[in-house]
Amino acid sequence: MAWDAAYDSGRIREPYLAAMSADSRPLNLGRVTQNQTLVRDAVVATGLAKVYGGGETQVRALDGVSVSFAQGRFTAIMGPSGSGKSTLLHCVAGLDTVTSGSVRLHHRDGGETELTGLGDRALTLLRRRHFGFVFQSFNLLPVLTAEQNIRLPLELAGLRPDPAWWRTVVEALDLTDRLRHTPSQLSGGQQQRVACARALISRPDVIFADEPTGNLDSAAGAALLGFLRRSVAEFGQTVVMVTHDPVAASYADRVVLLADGRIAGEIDNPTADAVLDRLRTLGA
Amino acid sequence: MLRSTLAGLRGQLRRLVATTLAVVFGVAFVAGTLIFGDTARAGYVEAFAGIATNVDVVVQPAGDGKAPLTGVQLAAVRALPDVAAAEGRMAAPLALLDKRKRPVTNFGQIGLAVSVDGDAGLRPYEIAGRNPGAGEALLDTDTAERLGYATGDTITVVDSVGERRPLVVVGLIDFGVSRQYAGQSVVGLPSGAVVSFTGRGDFREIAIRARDGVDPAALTAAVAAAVGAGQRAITGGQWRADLVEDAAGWVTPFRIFLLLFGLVSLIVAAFVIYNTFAVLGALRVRQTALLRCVGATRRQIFGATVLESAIVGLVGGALGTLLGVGVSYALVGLFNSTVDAGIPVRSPVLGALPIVAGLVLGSVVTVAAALLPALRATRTLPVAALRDQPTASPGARRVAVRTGSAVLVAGLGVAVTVLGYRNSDQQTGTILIVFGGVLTFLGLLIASPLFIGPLCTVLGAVAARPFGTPGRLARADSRRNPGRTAITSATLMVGIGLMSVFTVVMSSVDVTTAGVLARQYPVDFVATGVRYGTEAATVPAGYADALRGRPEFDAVGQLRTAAATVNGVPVRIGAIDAASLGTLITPDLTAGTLADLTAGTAILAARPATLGNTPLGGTLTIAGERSTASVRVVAVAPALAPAVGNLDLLVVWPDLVAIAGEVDDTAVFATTAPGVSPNAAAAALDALADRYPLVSVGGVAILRSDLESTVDSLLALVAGLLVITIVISLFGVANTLSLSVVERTRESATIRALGLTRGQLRVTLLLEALLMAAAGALIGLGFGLAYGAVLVNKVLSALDPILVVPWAWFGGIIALVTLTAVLAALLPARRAVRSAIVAAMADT
Repeated sequence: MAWDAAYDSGRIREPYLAAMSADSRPLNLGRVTQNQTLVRDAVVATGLAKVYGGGETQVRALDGVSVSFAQGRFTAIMGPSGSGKSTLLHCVAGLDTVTSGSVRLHHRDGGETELTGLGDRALTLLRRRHFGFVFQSFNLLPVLTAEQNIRLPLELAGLRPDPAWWRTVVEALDLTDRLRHTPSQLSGGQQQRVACARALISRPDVIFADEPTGNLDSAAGAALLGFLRRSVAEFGQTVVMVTHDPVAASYADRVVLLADGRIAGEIDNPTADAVLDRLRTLGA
Repeated sequence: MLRSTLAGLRGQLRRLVATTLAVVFGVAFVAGTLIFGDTARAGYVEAFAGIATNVDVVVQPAGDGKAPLTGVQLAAVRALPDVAAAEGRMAAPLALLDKRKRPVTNFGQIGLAVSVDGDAGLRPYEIAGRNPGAGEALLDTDTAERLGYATGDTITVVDSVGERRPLVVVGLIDFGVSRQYAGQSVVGLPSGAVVSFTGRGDFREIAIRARDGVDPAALTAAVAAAVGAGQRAITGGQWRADLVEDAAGWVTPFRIFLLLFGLVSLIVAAFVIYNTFAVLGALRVRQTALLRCVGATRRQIFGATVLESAIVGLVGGALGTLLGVGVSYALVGLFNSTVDAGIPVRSPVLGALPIVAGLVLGSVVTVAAALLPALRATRTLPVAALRDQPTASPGARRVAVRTGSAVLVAGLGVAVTVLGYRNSDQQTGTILIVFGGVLTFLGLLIASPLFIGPLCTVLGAVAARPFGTPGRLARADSRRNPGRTAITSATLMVGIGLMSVFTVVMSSVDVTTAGVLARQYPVDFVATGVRYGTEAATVPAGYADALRGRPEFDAVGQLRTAAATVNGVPVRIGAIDAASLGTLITPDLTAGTLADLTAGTAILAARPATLGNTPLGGTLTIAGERSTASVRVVAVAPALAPAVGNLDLLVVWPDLVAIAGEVDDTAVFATTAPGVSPNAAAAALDALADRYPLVSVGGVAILRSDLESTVDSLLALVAGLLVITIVISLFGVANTLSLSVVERTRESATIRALGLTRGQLRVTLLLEALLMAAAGALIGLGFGLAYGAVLVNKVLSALDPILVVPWAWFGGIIALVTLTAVLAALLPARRAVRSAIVAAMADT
């Protein structure tokens, strides 16, 4: 596997691997380290509020949320339905505007961008260059082949994929034989792998995943989560994922819990059981 | 089911707006045409109803010979006991000069003098002013307006012996909408003046008033007997009906022509309707499946769609009929402005037929167009409610059926076309070609879903490249649903196909006919004096030099003629100036050469055969005004000065002067300088007219300029009529796009999340619209070029046809299509970029 070769050659970084319980996931990635203090933050949200409507029908989807997502880490956002977890993801990913508060993106190269207050065009260009997305319903463009779908974010930026990186991603996701297929010719699991490749190909600062396993069977879901995990562990990718599934959350380095639009706690190195316990106390 | 349909309609109102508009415009054209016909006819009837109500019987010359009515016949009519009054109405040619003292002509013809005295109740026109006495005249309103004369002005007529007669205008004759003297100048005079000026005393018509209580029909019979055979006596009622028919007769055939355009616009509207319901059906799969889940039968699903389309059709039909009133006004304006039809303007006549036709056509066309999508909706399986939207691709069997029927229909069309092309009878052949063209076009339409995708890809590869990702997305999107794209393009294909056939045929007719004219007339202009009777009028000698001084002309030639005798036989001899002989004017010789024409020689005309028996080399003695000379015949020509005058002998210029003395030119020929348009040359001639009255200019350039104007105005008329189909196509493209935008809400949101800017999304949709439009335009233009060429070759087969590709018109069509696409993309693009990414992504 090319990935192993990349690993052996030392190109893949290893410092941010989190401790985890190997029994709850299909892939054992090994190389566990407890070292978390070196981590920089990729996205810092401060005092985020998102209010819908006005008067009596006013809904506070986010009510003063301050949270940060570490670089090279896999963070899961969890909470009961209506807790505001998707809204939080949309706001930090520049897909939605906030009512108040600040969202700051720390680029890997050291730069910094404040998202709130940016216009639509600036936000679009920012998403194009610095964010990747994986959605629940895959959201591939049906008129494009798998390959064209994967290239899309780079193409929008007028760039070509680095051939070595392209090979690495495509082979890691086992898509080599599927590149010329259109989404309608692919299974759900394959489509989501294409979506994953699309998110990864531009080496974004952060990949945002919104219930990525929601439409997959358990085997395909596990494979996908395993890949997200690996992308963090071995490519140093930053991943922020919203999920309602404790098992999915257990793949993360850290779980942020949300309830009624506020932070309700967090769990480092979560297990499915630990997450389930905490969710029960939130009344989910 | 009714309730859920109505609820659905309310919910989908915005999505149905464009469809309804397509129905409205399609129906409006048909209803407008019907209203226009009724209104125009009513206008003509009204215009003649009050005219000459006292006329009970009219006598007109009958037959093609048009034996004139004489004073004897008038006297015989007057002698009948039941006749209260009878007037002989005279009309004879009389030249009128305009303010520049140039003879007023209409297609080379001078105007008329009519007698206006007698019983006012018998006149078929109205006079504003008083009846003219000696030295006074009336002038028709059109001519007065055109030439800028008013009551109190003095006009000049030239009588039959060439005398100028100044007359004071004391009133105007209003012929209303009558086309009896359309375009000609009419001077109203006392009958005595008509006789003395024109030298003619016959009548064109005798109008008779019966004594009170006399039956006009019975009197008609008596009058017919009195005037004798060869004349036609009719009742006043019949006469007035004839006048209406004369003026309004063109309306009925033209209405059929217009209804054909209406049919085309309805077909285009049907495409739009079909597409809308097909897309709506696809959008509603989930909803339909849900209805099936909770127990709706297939029949109910089918009924719901049909009901929905019927409501859209009725609403569209009603609004269309209303808009038709406006269209009827527009048609009157279009006809009056492009072809100068002179239709009386009045408030529209809204009969039952246009209303019924509008409502019935609107609903029938809409329901018929929605039937197939409705049937398709019934095939929705209840489980589809639980599935993601299925993306259906056409099965191989359907592709085969489509290919088969397209090949069959197009093949038949081509066969009929070939049959028509080979047909020896031109008219039958032309009809067959048109029929074959319709079939071939139908075949193209059937096949278009098969090739429109690849065509868009090819077009997109060329056009979308500079636009990067939006270009590639538009290209991919345009072939996503070939059926839908094909039908959208087809709406444009129809209008543009027709428009290009018309422009190719008309432009080719224009150029081919001009070529024929150029061969018949060796020069562009021929200036002659105004002819009166048998006396040959001349052009002042300075006129040719004045023409030579204008930059618009590069060659000017003079022909001089004079009367002489050869052995006592009167002949006309002539000469052409040395510079022009053999270059500008080259007589067709049957014997001898032009170079042999030197001093003391002559070319003999074979026709007229006055001196026909003179052999080549024979000598003739010509006796002229100044001297007598002998000339040797060196050449023979069939005709020496075709289209100008009859010449018996052509000699060299100095010989003519020696024999006949210095005379004025009989004709001056001129060719237009290269690059000068016929109209500019005509304007230069007008400028000269001021100094040279009584010079009438004719010739190929004038004919060409007339022809050009005719072709241009006809093309403008047809283009104006076809623009309505383009407008319907606009709704079609807009409709398809906006439904696609709704359909792709989530996709657009995704790609926006991935980094497509609003501007790029707009460009994507715009390019998609342009691709669809360009595909339609390309096929339409190609079809028009092919069938235009076939038609031109058939229609003009006798004239050595020249095929013209009217690039200017094609360019205009392409500009129109581009504009249509841009307009069509505006609203859908606005809606697409307005939706928030997060909300759109949640919308499934």
